[in-house]
Amino acid sequence: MTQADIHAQNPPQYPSKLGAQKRLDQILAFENELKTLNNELGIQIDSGEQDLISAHHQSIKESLKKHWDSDINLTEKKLSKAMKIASLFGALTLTASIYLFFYQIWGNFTQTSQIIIVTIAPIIALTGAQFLHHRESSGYFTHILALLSMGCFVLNLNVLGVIYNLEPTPNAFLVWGIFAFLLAFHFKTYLLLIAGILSIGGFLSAQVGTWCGFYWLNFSEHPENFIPTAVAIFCLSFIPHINNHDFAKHFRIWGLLYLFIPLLILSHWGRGSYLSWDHHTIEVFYQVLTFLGSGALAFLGIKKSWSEVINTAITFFIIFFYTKFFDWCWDIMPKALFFLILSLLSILILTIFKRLRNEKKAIK
Amino acid sequence: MKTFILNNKLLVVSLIIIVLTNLWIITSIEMSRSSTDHQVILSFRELRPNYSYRSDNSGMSVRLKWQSDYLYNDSPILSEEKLIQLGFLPNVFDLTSRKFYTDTYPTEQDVWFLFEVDGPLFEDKVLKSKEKLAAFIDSTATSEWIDYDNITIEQFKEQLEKVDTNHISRSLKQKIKSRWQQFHRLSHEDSRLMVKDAFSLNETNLPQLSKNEFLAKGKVKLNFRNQDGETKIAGRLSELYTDTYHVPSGYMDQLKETKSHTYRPRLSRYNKEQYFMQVQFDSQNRPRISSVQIRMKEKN
Repeated sequence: MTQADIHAQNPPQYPSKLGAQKRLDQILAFENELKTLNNELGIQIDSGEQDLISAHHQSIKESLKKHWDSDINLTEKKLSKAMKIASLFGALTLTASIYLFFYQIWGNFTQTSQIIIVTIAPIIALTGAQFLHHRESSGYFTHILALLSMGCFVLNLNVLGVIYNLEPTPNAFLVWGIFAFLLAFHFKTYLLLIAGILSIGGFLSAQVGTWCGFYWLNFSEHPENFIPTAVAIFCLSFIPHINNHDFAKHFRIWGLLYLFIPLLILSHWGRGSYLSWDHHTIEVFYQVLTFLGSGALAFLGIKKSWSEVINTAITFFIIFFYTKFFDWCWDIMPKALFFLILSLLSILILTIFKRLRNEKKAIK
Repeated sequence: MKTFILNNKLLVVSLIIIVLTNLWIITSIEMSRSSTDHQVILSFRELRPNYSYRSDNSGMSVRLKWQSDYLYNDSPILSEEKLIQLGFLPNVFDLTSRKFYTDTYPTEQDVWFLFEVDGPLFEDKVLKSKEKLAAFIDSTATSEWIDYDNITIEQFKEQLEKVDTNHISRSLKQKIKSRWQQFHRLSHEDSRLMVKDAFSLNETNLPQLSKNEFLAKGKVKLNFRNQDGETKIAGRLSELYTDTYHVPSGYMDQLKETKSHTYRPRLSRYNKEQYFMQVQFDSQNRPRISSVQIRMKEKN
């Protein structure tokens, strides 16, 4: 029995669709490079080995195509992107449609029927998603139904709250967050992961607001409520995500967004702070903190090779810098000089990063 | 089955979450409903149609409307002493401190509000309003032709038109009309629900409720007010957490019959029919509409 036959019987397991696609890209790159080497240097691998490799790669390709619906060329990749966008749009609009349709008809049912409908709806959507999960290799329709299930669960708790005249509670966000995380990890879908991050983020920020003595629905009035949430979400990326390694970067990106957006607001609006200092002092404090924080996080990203952390931190560094520079200099400086200084600063940032890149290369 | 559960642990936990959340909400509500039967009758004056329910929502809800004694009595609902009892720190009232502005100390507090419907507080407000109207009419020397106690708006307008225009200017006529309508609305259409008192959520001895009283959880927010040229901090009811009551579908049909010629049921206070709703409160003071009565509007 050849290696290819063994492989055909026991296809390699990949943790996610992304992992499978990476392997396929690697194989395609290898085949292209081999062709280029053959053309440029006339190098050829021994025909026996070449056949063995080709057969092995072919069986992997077939297996990946079958199990993960991986893209085997550029056209398929482009089409897959379009399908992803269509799937996202479909999931959001279908959820909105079901949500609004229920409210359009619920007045025609008795209270018991209303409760039964909203309780069963997420279970039905979840069962549908699970049914498709093992039958559909691409996963697009599974993701649509999984998100629909999440939407139905949100509707479920909302309707119970309305029917029983319950006062709003942040605990609903906790339940929705846990539910979204479970589905995200089970069906490996980013959209539900983001829904989970937003729900848990809302719950944690509301809790911080409550601990500081404010009504939970007013948590957005104090941007500092989001800072502990940012730390918690960022730290979630350190938990080893079995089979879902690419989820970690989403936790890091959203953690940084939860951190930088409140800092951006506080650096311009000191009144929103819990600190008892003068407003101007608070704004200056947060401006300094933001500059230092974004710089430090960019360096952390470089050190750990977290491209998403580098990009997010640098983006906010530039936003902070430009908004503050505008505040300070727009009125007092000739416009030409204003833009010249900005361009020089951009060049300075470029130079710093070029140097860092070269240093990293040299270390490697 | 066992293999399925082992292979799909996260999915099974998700299903359990759906079932347990629903069970927990429904059982806890049913349990708190079974232990008490305090009820209050609220009319179309206190429960206003909730117009946020538009044509794409077939449900129905009513919104609680209440009043304070601000208009005719300048004293705040909650004094400084009361606010401290409710849990506000005394430092908050120190206006020389910047703390109030920077919100270092919470400037809002969750409390129980005690509401009284059509009780002495409302009667007092109507009386004061009537006295103010009488004083105004006396000051315009037109009291001899206004019997504001026993006439309808139409009769009042008719009477006002008959008055000699040389004796009383058009703008004064307008002023009298507006003051009278204000009083008339208060007596016949405005909500009779008044905030009687407030209690801290930690209060162990909440008052025994009489048949026209109920408790509702809400928020007191501190605000500035001017008294005798002096700026002070006072508390006001800024929000009720459950101020919208869902109308169960069974009662919706009853309300729809009152306006059979329109597609959308309308609970307008200008309708010929007036509605009265019995609201029951459970042990957690959560309201629910337990019956609806429709009566023909009395002429006034």
